[in-house]
Amino acid sequence: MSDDKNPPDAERTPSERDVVWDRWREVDRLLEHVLDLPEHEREGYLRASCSDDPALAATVLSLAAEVRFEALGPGERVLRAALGEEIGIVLDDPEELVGTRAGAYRLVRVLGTGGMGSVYAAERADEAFERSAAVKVLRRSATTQEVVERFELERQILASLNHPAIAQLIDGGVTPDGRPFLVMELVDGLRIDEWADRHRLGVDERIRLILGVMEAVEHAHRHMVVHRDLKPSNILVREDGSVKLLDFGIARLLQEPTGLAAATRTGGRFLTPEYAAPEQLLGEPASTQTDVYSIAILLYELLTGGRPYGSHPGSSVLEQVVRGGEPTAPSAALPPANTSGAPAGSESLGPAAVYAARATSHVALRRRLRGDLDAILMRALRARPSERYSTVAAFREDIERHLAGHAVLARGDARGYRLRRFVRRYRWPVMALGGVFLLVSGSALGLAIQRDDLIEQRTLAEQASARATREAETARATTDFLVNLFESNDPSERLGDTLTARALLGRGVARIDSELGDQPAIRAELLATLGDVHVGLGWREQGIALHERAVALARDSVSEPTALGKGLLGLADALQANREFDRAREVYGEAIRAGSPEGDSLTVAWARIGLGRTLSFLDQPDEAAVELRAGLQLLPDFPDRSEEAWYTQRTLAGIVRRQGDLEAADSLLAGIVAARRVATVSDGLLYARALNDLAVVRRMRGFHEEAARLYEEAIDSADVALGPGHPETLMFRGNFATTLTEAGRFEYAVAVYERSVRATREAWPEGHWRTASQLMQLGATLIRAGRPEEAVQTLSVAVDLAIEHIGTHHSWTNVYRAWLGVAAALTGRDAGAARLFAWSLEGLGSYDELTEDRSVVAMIDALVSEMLAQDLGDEAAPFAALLEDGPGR
Amino acid sequence: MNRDTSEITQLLTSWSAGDEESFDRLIELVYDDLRHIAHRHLNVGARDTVVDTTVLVHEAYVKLAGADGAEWAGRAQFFAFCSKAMRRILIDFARRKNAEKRGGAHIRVPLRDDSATIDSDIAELLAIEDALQRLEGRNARMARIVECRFFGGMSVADTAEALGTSVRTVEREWTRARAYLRQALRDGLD
Repeated sequence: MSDDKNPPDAERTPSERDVVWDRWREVDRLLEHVLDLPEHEREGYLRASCSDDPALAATVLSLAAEVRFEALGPGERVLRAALGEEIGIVLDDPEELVGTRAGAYRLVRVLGTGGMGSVYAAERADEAFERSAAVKVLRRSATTQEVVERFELERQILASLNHPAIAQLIDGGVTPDGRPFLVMELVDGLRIDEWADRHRLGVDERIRLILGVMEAVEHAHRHMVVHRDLKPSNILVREDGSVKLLDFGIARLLQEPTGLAAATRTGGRFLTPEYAAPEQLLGEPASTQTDVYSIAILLYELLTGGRPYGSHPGSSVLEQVVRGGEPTAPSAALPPANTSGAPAGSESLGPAAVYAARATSHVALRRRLRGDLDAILMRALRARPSERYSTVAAFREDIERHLAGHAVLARGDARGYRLRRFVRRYRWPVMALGGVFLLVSGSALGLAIQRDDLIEQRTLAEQASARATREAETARATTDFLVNLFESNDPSERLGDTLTARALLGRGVARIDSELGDQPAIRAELLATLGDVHVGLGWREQGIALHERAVALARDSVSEPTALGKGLLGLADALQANREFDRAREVYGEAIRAGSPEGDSLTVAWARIGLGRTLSFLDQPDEAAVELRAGLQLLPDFPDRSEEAWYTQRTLAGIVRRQGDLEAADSLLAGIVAARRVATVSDGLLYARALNDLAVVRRMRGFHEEAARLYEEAIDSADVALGPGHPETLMFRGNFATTLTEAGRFEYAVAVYERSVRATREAWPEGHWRTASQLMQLGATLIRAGRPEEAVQTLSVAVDLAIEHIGTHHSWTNVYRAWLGVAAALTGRDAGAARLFAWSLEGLGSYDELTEDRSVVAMIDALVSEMLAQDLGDEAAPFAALLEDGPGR
Repeated sequence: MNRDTSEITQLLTSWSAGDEESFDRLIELVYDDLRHIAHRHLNVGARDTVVDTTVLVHEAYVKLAGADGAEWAGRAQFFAFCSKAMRRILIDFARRKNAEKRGGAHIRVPLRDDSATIDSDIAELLAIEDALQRLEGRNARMARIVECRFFGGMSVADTAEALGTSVRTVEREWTRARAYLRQALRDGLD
């Protein structure tokens, strides 16, 4: 790989090094042998075997001595410098700024330096009143006007966070030489882990410390701020034992703005790998559930002294997570009492110190962690954000349940989780059985998840903890039942035995009746669940019948007052799925009447939403909008609003948009976007869709710049959630390019389509028709951009691909031909253009359904306008005539 | 440029089979990703982070193999490739630094009190590269092992898989290679 070597030192006397390289074969053979000998025998052996060659003996001996030292990888500093050089990072000298001013503050001394910049102790420079503060000056970077504006906006949001446990953001700005800075409350305290160890806090006290942290994080989440970088060094404990969180939301503030060039995402982010959630490591957006994960790592570390993936050395956390590795349960991560050496993942403490600092012993601590705390932390540490606690509040409440001695939800969830993992683990064998099991398990899986969420929502909504426990038990029985049903069909045991899904479900129904005869509440719940599974599989009649049985049971023999409303809701949903809209409308009404007096607002909410959907199917948009709106109002708002509720909001926005109320649609969609911006991870797709919808509305309202910005963001999210080659992502890009074209930004539009072409080539088989259609769009845009020569190239490929994959007579192929004709005409190839136009017209003219095929009509429409714009009026006329007259025969 | 996983896999296969041109093509394909990943790691708080090649390489793998890494067979080959790429990045850097020092060109990055250490690190890298090239001429596999272990931070098992040899061989040859490198370092830095 190179030829210019380090010049050899000519003046050096022949050294061992020369012996090594000149007589390498001999040296290596001897060295290999010597290394197998015990150390004390080596010298004697070498003396004997090369008695006539002391230089060789000495060389090998000194080589053998070298191996006692472990050679490590290149030093961190040199790596950093080398890579930093590669990418042009400029390192500043933090001391340089001491004595200078940042706004009204004078920097007094350096408190610390990190990747983002340096923190200084500072004093107010106007001596009117003395006040000290911490000032964080960020590293100089590409400080464009846009960055500064964004910084200002974010800073205002952060300044609105007002909580005793959050270090207050006081001020901020940009120094004259262009470095953004933040002025924060100066906190005098110890890192949370040091504080806990120094005060020898027991398990309960450590947990309570974290509860304080969680309350502060919840406060921020309510203000739509995610911390993104929770770690011990960002959490201080003051003399009086109160916690204070630093750097709230700073990580986002420093994030590079998204958009602009979606094709070249650099993903410059600030995170701490040890505490970062998998989605952050993968470069996905952070959410409230990201903070759930980081808090869990923090608690894990405070309790065990180690980290969840600490005991698997040799590969990165990320890789383990991606490969489906499970974190070690806290109770299993404790270092054995009698060994020396550090516990899993911890930096310094030996086992004795771990137990001493917690005023406990190995046995006692393990007993304390096993069960509840294991389950709670494992849930919060799930790799998929959607499988963690949905909010920090839910996480905290489960911990509080544990402290109060109540049943914790995480343990019930662990069963559902087992089911989901089971399904994932056996996905391939399951598929081999014809996909049937996958369908069944998949639906049950979805239900299990939904039901978990419901449990959470219910507990949030309901005051009576007794009721919550009862419901949790029912849900637990349900999941247990399902797990058993499926585990007894472990495909690895039953390969070859093609038990059909229908038989499996039939057996489930039989077991419900035989085994649970005396438990009507659980029976009703299971009947409804299996009803849903049937509906999901397309056996809607049977599903409806099962739901009817569940309703009858709830009406006659279940004492729980809310059971009837829930049962009716399930039945109505099944009816709606079967497109029995009139009956569905009736039963939704019954559900609303049954749920209202019981104060079961969730059932009422979902019933009204279902009713709204049904009315929309019945083509009564005004009534539908009223119901959807009313239902949404009954549901919890951010951050507890569920995925499905957000989708409902999107549906409502679509309805009011079609009714022409653009402003109402705008505000509904903007609401989704604002909330999703901090809670995207569980469904980046919803976020992308809401952004796209909002862009459409903004464009209709005439705000083209904003629409363009929103499209960019939608595309960014869709790239992550769906992949750049997904048809929906391509559609978003197409929308974006259209907006750009309208604004006359042709070059940018070209770049957008180039990206789409690349994406289709990557995502679809070589030469797929989708590539042809993207190439056509690119070609058309090149024509608009005044680059006809390139358009000819591009469109030729498009036509070739179209001929090959959709046929030479296809109407699309003929439209592509006409576009190629336009490009040919613009480059002076008149004869070729004429031939292409004629050919295209002939093909389109013989297409019988031409005027009914909306896609082709739209394509010809666009073609004709472009031909007119390019002064090809004569050539355009026959194409325009096609649309007016229909195919000429 | 069409960068799909199967192309990478193919190139890795032909590179592993000795086709050195594939390496250049591979570098072209994934260099940007490697740099971006490196960039991100350099952005993180200096205090709490150790930039280490193992993490870089693993992350690059995860990213390029897609989230479902399991589907992709050439994991170890890929690590080996990243290790070689890392060697190139580091050595190019060291050479440039060295040339700047000699030619009196401006050193743009003021690496304050660390500059002495950086100088010695650079000398160290150059000495290692020198030794590695000599080693390459005498036992190519040993040089490969050094790339994987030293520049890529790969485990012994991954190295063995990548080079199609046994764990025991990797352990034994790595031990000897380390001896040669350490000796070269000592001599080179005197």
